[in-house]
Amino acid sequence: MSLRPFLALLLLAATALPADAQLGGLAKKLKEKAAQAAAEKAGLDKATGDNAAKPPTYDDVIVELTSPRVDALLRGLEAQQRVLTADGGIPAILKQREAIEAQLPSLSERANAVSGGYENARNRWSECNSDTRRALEKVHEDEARKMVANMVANPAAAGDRAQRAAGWQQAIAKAIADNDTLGIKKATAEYYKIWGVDLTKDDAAVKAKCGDAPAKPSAMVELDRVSARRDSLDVQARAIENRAVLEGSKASGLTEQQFAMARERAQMAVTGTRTRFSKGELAAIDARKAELLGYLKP
Amino acid sequence: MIRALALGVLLAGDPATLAVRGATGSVIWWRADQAPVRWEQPHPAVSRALHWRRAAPGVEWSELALEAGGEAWRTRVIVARLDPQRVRFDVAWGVDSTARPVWSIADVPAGTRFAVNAGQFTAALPWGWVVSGGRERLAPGHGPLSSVFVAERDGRVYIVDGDTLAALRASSNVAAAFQSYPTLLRAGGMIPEAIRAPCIIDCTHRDARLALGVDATGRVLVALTRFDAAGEALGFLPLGLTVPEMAALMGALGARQAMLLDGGISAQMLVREARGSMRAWRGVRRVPLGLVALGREE
Repeated sequence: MSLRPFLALLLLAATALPADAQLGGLAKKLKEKAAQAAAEKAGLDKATGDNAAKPPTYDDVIVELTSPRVDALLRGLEAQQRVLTADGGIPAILKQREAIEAQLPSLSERANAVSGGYENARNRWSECNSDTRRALEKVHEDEARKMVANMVANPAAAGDRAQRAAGWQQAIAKAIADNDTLGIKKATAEYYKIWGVDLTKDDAAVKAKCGDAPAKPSAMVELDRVSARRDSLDVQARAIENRAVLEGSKASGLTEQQFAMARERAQMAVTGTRTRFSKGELAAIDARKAELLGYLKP
Repeated sequence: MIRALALGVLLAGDPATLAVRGATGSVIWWRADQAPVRWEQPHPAVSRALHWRRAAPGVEWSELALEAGGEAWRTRVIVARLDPQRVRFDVAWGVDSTARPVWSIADVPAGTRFAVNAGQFTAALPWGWVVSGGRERLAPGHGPLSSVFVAERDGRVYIVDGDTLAALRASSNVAAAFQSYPTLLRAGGMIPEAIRAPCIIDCTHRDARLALGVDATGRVLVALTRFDAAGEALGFLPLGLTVPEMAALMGALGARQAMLLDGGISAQMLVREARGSMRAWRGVRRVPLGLVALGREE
């Protein structure tokens, strides 16, 4: 609360009394003024304790609940509820989710029974894959280094290889920056091709040594599928809820914040908390109380 | 000179403060312009003001009278402290077949020792990850200023900051969990930068607040603010502390990690007294999620 409005009064008081008394008196007056202002803002008369209806300060968020606004609020609440329950809406999704959740313990058990063996096999294959590729890369690097050395020694024989190599180096750098795994692989293969190294044979070499990647057991695949379905239901439910909030606000003609605040204030009024409302607001709300209670059940 | 100083203070504006109110006056224990960035232990002024009442086994509660700025000039805080060695936590799912939030403390089963609304929500669904009764109900949400409360099957409870929850989600140990935001205190009592001046989120908005934290000994702390200027009848008016003030409160109460839950008209809490009667601080509306504490043997 700003103290400036009381400055004139306090200046006057300050000139009349000795210093200590002035400060004590100032402090007391400030405290009383602050308390009274807060009480008034709360809709109370501090001196009398009267809780007669007094409206809040209306602003960008707290809008006056006139009859047209209450109509608008009801339109918004109806639109919101429609979205929440359309085609089964959130309740149907939650029911599906519950059914899925009930399956998960047994699916998890079956998946856990086989996951250890699968993870071990997968790790062994990954290690073989990495080791074999690393060894092949070293061979390729040596080959490319020799080619580059020859090129430096015989520039005329290099032709346009250096230029093409620079182009593919840039492509590799860009693919790395874009986190484009496929792009990196393609650009690297093209780069080595310039030096006569064929990386496409590497895949065949790795497969010959390490075999195919072990297939995920069906129990684990099923668990992944059901978990993903559960998560997608959550995404759907949240999307419906977000849309309901937007539709409610749109149908009411109020901003989202105004709509949320109007809803809360209406809920307070219909459930008996009637302080901080003007008489006009209470009359407007009471006129549509039965309908409001349909959405704002206490 | 003194007059000039007093006027200087008026012109500069007072920083926000938090004070505990007692029989002998108020004691300021926090100032926004000198706010600590880390809470390593409870604040003595706050600890002295708390008189813990034993409720059902494993549950204690207390009240704190606070003075803060603006509308929060009279704020009462109800604090519950729960011992995970003696209670076990679960998350109560409260979305009905028409996608409406239906949970409230009024409907908790007879043996419930403690209940509070959990998480945040927009229209129908809770935000973020929900595990209820050992089963996942909703996938994690994304937000760096979020935290998740976890109760494991062996009774251990903790808070995890951030939204990287893949490992936790894959764990079979989680009995109950829910996400919420914003994080008020990161591990070690650190206040996140986003809610330190200059804030990234809205740090000036005042509202009725609800927060959950874990202290150094692993006990769960839940703090609910109530507007205190007109008795309990208007306790649930959405007037109260700012986010930074709530972070400070949780730190001063002894929390080492904490997160905000849905306050405003949603905030509600129940404590079962030692003799079985119920102490309830009701909200205005039903919510989609609750956190309940039951006896370990139940």
